[in-house]
Amino acid sequence: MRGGERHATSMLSARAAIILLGVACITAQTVLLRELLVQYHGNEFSVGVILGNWVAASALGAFLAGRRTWQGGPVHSFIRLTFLVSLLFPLSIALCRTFKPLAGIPHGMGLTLAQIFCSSLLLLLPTAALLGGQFVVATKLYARFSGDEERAPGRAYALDAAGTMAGGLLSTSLLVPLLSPLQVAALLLLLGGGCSLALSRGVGGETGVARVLPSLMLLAALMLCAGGAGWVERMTLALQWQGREVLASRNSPYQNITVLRDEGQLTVYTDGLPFTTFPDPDTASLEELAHLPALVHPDPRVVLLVGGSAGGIPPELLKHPSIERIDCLEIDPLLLETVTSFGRLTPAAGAGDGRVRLHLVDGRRFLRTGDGGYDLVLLNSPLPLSLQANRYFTREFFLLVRERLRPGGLLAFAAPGSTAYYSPDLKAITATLTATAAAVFPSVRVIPGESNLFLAFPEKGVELPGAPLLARRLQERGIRALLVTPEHLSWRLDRSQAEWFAGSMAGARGGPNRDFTPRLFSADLAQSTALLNPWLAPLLTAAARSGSAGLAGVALGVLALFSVAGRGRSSVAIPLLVASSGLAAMLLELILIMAFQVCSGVMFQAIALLIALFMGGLCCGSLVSAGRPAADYHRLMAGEAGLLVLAALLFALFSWEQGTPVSPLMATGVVMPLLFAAGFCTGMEFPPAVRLLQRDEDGRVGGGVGRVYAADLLGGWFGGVYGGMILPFLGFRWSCALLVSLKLAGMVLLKMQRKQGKL
Amino acid sequence: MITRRTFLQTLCLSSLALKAQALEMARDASGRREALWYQRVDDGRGTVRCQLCPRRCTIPEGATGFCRARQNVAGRLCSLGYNLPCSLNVDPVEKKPFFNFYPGTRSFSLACAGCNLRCKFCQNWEISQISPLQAANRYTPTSQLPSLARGQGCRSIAFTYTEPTTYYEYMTDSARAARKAGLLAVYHSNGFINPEPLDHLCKHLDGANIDLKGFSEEFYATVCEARLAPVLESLKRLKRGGVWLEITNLVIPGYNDTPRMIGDMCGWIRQNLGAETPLHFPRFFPLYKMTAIQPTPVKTLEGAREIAMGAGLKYVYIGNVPGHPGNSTYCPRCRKQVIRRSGFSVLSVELKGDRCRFCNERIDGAGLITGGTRI
Repeated sequence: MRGGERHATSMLSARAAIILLGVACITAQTVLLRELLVQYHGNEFSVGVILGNWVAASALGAFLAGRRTWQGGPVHSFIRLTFLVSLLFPLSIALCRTFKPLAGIPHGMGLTLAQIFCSSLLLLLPTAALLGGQFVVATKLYARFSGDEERAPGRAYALDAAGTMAGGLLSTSLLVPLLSPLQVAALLLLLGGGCSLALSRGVGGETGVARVLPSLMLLAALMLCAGGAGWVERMTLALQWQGREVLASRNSPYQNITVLRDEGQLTVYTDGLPFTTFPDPDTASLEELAHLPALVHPDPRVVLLVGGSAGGIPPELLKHPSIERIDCLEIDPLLLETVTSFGRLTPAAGAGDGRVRLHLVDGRRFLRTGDGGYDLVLLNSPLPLSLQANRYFTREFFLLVRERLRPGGLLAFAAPGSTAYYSPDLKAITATLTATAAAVFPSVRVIPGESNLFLAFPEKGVELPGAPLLARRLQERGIRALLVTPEHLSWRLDRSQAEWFAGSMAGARGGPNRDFTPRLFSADLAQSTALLNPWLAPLLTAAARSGSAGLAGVALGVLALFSVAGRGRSSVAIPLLVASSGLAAMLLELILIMAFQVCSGVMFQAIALLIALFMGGLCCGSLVSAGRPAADYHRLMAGEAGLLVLAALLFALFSWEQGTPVSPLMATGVVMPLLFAAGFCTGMEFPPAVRLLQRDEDGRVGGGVGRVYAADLLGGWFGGVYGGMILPFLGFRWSCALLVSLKLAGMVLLKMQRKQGKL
Repeated sequence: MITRRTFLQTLCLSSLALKAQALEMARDASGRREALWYQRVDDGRGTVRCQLCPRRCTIPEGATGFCRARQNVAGRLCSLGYNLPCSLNVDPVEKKPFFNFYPGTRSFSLACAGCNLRCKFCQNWEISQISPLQAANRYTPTSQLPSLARGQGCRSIAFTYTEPTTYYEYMTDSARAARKAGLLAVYHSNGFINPEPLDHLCKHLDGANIDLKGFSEEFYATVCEARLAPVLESLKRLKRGGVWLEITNLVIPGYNDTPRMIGDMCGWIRQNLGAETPLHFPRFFPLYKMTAIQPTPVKTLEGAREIAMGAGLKYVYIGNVPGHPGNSTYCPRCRKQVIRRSGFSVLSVELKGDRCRFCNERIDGAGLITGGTRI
């Protein structure tokens, strides 16, 4: 091969390697996130902590790599790091599954926030730090082949972002649904190994590691194709579930679904928590939700069941002879398929009953687009620990339900109650639910108990029928239930219970739960936090209550800090600015993704597209500002101003919320363009920040990149932790206000630096 | 006609009486009644040692014990929950659970915050794992309880939901008041109490349901932060003390569900407490810190019931599975159903006095029903 051709091939290999690095980064992050979510039982808090720790570990890797002098040049260093990532990524997957027994944590126990924080940091550190360091080496690699040190960071950043964008799409649409996590690791090893070999040949010599790569790739191929991964998969799953019999473990676009068997009883887990169990179900909750509302209605004919139809409610409902049709709404087809494949009678199997119709669709979409009215709408969803679930308990959703209720119809849902004590958290949950229903329905009645049953009627002044009438209807309809008997009805509707409930709830206040003011989600999260982290709950509640006053204090503090930094050296001011943009970017991305979820409910399906849009914006932004070093200050200023405007726009949008259901079109028409714009503004800042820092320090390419990248990721880490821990309590609106003040402070900092001639 | 002098005298006396009552109320409402069963430590710093439960906490001035319900106030150990229950409600007695004790009656149930164990599957963690100082309490002097219970048609007063041992003084005084008013006094406890206080308590109780949470020291240590031996000792003492005793063993998959552990436990009950001691096996559902454990398979509960009956126990129940045949009471001789239940509801009774209507065998228990009449 001639020199020119070799150079062209090497340049191509370098580009491919950097793109692949982006793919590996997002894929490894997604796979490990999902593995950890199962371990942390889908705790919404943990998502922010995991993402935050990932970027912190990447920042550490980038920082260390920037300071290190690499032996043997960037090509061999890049290959060595690829080799290490290939080994440590699958090992991290295995460790994610087995760390609980290794750490002596008994099976089935929830983890405290401290345990979640420490374990996720330790488990993510090897892979994330190596990938972070690899990016710094990749910029050197690009600089070496392109010969343009000045533009190399920006170009490498753009290529990496393009890889992340492609990887986001690829992993969500293909890799995660089709391959097991270990197969994904094997595939990445094959691709990374191939790229490394090409790079190695491009510089005309194979190092020790490059010589080992083919054997490793062969092993990966075996893992991928010959069932090796399946064997390791089974072994690690057995360790994860601590000896219990695992019948299946699958990943849907929404969650991990695992089926365990014990003494013939099958339990389906979603993200590590029991979802349903059979053949002996939780009879009490099934029968109460199915029969009590149906008995309250004098003649129920058409029923809508939102969620949980695999749990056995339809067969109970069908015991009421008047019922002509049950529309069951489910959002995750794989969950239903899994439950059905193990013999559970679902509406899909329908026990051959044509009255049950299954719709694989989001409940809000169904209510908005379908037609016809219902006598009963049963909301069978656990209380929200995610925004996805919160969408079914908002004023906006209840408005949709009311429009579809026939005269005399009712909405029913259950929520945790107590016959012993109403703690402040439980009171807040109950009061919020009551206020939300009362904001839409003129009559709201609660049948109190261990599980409170809420019944909401569109007519004024509706009173609950007494136990004797319900018992008569039970008898007339010929219903034979295990729990719901005349005696049980008499107890459930006993006056003493209602009086005790009213007394316990005296003085409890709660505002309605809304799409962008998710009070119920916050209250539920506070309760689950108090359960495992009693010390944390008061802090978060105080943060939520501090509202605008607390926010003003924080904003002033930020402004003061940035003003001091503005007078100091650029080597401090620029990384601080980049860190604040990293924070703003991560937080805006999270807020917009959550807003998308609120509007459309299909975030999990579209997550790849959403990430891709953000990364696309990031890529375009960094490409736009990769050239023309003379305009660096203006580019930075434009980036800051752009982020400020976006935050202000979102603040206005969330303040404007009127309580009417948000159109799903907002998800595509508003949220998606804003995601791209947020990425674009953030991306614009990276190349000028690196150049300004280099100019100030007159340093090496890697050093400047490492510091800026580390600052960016560190800000992102804080944004992730904030998004997971504080955002649900402070809310969307005030978080956007905080971002406005942060970016305003950033602009002040830039202005001061400029005034002092440092930029 | 009342004279001016008499009027002033009456006024003064009434004021003094009201003042005394107010002071008494203030003292009671503070919840800080001096505790029984403690001793002062001779360290010159006012430290005390609680002697109520086997932890025997050494409590410095100002601190509370492990249970969070007993505080050292200026060198005196005080019970913080006295007269301050955080929970007052009416339940079927079957919910405690008592199945061979006044079936079908209501029980006025109360609790003060606090517990001397740390079970990771606690159902009432929101009140058991806090101090009475943190809970929303309702001032309820012992003298009010009987009328409250009677007003709700209750046959008994039950100390339940949290650990009654932690409000020992309020419990004993309330039990005394209940009995005086012709009501029964029962408690649901973890049995983690020292022998002397328990012997004293037995004099005031009619029924006890004790959680025998598992049958190994390891289970108690890892899941409850406690010990098994003192609980076994309590069970024996309650039996000797003439208190009607029922036992609850919540079966948690993977923790206390091996046939061997259940067999050992049933053998011990048979030998030490007698075959007539009812044993309840409720089904576990994910709770508190044990959120990721599957509900107990009904077959496991049925297996446990078979083991218990095989060990000679006469009354073995399955709980939290409404409609299961194991909810009902069977005659130990002819095996026919004598009290049919679903969940906590009593559906029918086939008793003649306290005897089986089919074979005339005596059914062990207290207050059993015959044709709707209590005996």
